[in-house]
Amino acid sequence: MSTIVNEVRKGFYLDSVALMRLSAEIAAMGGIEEAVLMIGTPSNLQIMHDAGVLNATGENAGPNDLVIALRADGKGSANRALAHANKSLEGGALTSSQTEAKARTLRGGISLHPQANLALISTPGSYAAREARSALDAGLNVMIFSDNVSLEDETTLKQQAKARDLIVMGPDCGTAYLNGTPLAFANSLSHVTTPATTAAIAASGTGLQEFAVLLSRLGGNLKHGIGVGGRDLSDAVGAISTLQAIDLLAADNSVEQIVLISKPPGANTAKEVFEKLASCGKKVIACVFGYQQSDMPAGIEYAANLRDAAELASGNQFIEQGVEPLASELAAKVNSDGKQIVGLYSGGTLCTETQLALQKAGLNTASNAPAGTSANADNADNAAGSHLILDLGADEYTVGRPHPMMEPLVRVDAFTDALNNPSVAVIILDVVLGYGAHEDPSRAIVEVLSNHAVSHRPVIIACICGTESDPQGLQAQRNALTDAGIIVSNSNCGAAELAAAVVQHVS
Amino acid sequence: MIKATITSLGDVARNVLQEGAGVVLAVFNSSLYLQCRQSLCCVGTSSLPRGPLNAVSTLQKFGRIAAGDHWQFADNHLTIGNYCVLSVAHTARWVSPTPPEHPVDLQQLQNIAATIHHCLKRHYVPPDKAVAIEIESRINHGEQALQQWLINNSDTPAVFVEQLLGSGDGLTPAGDDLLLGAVVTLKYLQIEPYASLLGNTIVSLCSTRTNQISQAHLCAAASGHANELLYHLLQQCTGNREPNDALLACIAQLLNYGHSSGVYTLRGTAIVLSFVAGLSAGSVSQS
Repeated sequence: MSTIVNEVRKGFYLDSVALMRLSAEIAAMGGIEEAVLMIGTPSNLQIMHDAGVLNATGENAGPNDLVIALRADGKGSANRALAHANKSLEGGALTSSQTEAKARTLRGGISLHPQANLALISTPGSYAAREARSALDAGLNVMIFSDNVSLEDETTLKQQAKARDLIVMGPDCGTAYLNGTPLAFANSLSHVTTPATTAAIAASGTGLQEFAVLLSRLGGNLKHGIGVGGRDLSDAVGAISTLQAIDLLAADNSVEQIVLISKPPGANTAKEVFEKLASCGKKVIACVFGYQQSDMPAGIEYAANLRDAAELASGNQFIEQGVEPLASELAAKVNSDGKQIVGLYSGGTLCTETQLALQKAGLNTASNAPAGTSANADNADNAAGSHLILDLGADEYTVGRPHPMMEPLVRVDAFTDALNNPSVAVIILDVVLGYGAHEDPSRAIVEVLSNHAVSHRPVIIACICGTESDPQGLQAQRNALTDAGIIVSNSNCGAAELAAAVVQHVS
Repeated sequence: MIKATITSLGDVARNVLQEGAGVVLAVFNSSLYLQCRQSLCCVGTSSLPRGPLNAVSTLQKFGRIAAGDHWQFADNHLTIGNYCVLSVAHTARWVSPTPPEHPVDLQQLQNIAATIHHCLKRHYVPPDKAVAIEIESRINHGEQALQQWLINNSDTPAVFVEQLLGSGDGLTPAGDDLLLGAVVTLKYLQIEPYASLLGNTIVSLCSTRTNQISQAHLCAAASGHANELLYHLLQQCTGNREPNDALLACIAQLLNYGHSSGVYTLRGTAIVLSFVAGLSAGSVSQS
């Protein structure tokens, strides 16, 4: 079975002789059936498609991008060839030019890419609004990765954008997919070959990542993931970007269904958002954390969690063995004092989803980022006896330190404490892969465990938010965790359900 | 800082420099592109042919210049990054040769076109890989459509221009090179309204169908300007002489220009020459 691998280098120019030489070198490598390096013009994309070397990644290239397209007899050959291509392109063996790396200002970026229509702002929060305003003035849509942008600035920027037929994604928009292209912290979906007909609107961060990953595992494909920021659906902002996103997605004929992933909207905003969604002419699925089915208006399908949302969107379901036999087996390994679940999350939305899943199972929870009926973990009296689900990416853990998605060692202290705590029965961990994430997030977990015998430690359940085409490789990360005796769940929701079942067996 | 000289400057290149400042878009072994807004200037070593976008310099290499570096032009000096200062104080302006004022001998032109086709045929290597076969197929269709458009005097060349633009490997795709050869030859021979129709169509479509660098060359070509190698050939073609060694040398120069740019440029030129050679006497270059 042939494997097609594409890589797109944005704004990358290589002279013809170097292009041809490298194409020929790669084509001559063992196991390579076809290899080309071509600029991504519409005609060339059609040519590569007709020649059977283009996949969804390559389809997103533009005329000023270089497409590396390979067809090989297997993943091993393809990866070797791609590595050779990248080494040649980056090692200076070929004289080339990568334009985007050198822009130092917004103005410089616009000069280098006059055709660009989006600016990604990632500056300290106090400067982000000013840069976003400059981008809007230059006619660019804006994705604000930065946090700590004031509510007033957010509202003003979104109103200015709307008046110019532009959109502001964010602030604190950590993840987005536009036309299949991942932006900021995002998973690679390049291995997915099915047509991308699903679009999502989300806050957005790991919720959107988890949805995109689960959808891809179920055979679906995400075309757009528009991040609107965590406050957009509040009454203060009035869902300005969400409403614009619905209009944009409704107008995209290739989008067949829209998935909304969010916290509960403000009371006044909810009506307008759901009315627009229900009348947008597409199938709509809403995963609103904390909503019940009865809260959902007619015409919108209800998803209780991200797994449900992915299953509804794909039309397929995960084949689960059922948690009971495994939960019973794991409960037997828990020491006699172990009663508590501790969740140590790098993803905020995953932390929320776990709290709600445990509450649904009848368990009390506490968190530094409370959701549903969770107690505030800072209040020791209220939190006593609750299962502790922590968002280690929250501000109080990341001031002056890297985010745990970028540096898993940040989680080591909390993980070690939980391992040494005899009252802990289950530890849940998220392992987030993809662009921007640590190159080997499982390593820090496995290294900590090397000092703890399997027989004297809590049950550890992990969910990996990642795909096989992510830079870290899903299978490699899964193997590292399972080799260390960690149970790896298909989804975050599944991890929470299994953890709940284990402590209920213990009880 | 290395000090050097620009020996030849095309008009498009001069206009870019006169904008005063910009960034380096791309750097290659023996040339680089300077950008200011949408316009480009190509600075090269002495191996770079003279042309509308080109600033031929005495530099030997472009070490330590990277895409994104800034350039500025003031007081007859071009400064690129922290690497070099190029003087244009004694630079020659290069302009495209003017079309022939005498009538072109169509019988001789027919012989010359046949010679070029013969050379192209000898130079041709059949594609053996799927992508190369697809490219060749697309180029062949485009060539045939160009021929039919010329012969049938059709209204718009948009369909085949769109098909050819951005088709093929290389920095300037094969289809772009072919269109460049065709439109510059039509312009040089003043074959109207074909030259204007084709030029206008290329300009209107190229911004979305090919990369910035190829666009810049195509826009110059649509105005009748290309690098000197093509004019050397066109001057031989319109010299009303039998095919001779000078012609063969010009053909060989083009065939060996770039990886395949010269070949496809020649293919575009050959189609137009064959068409023009078939026109009735007196319809060519009577200005």
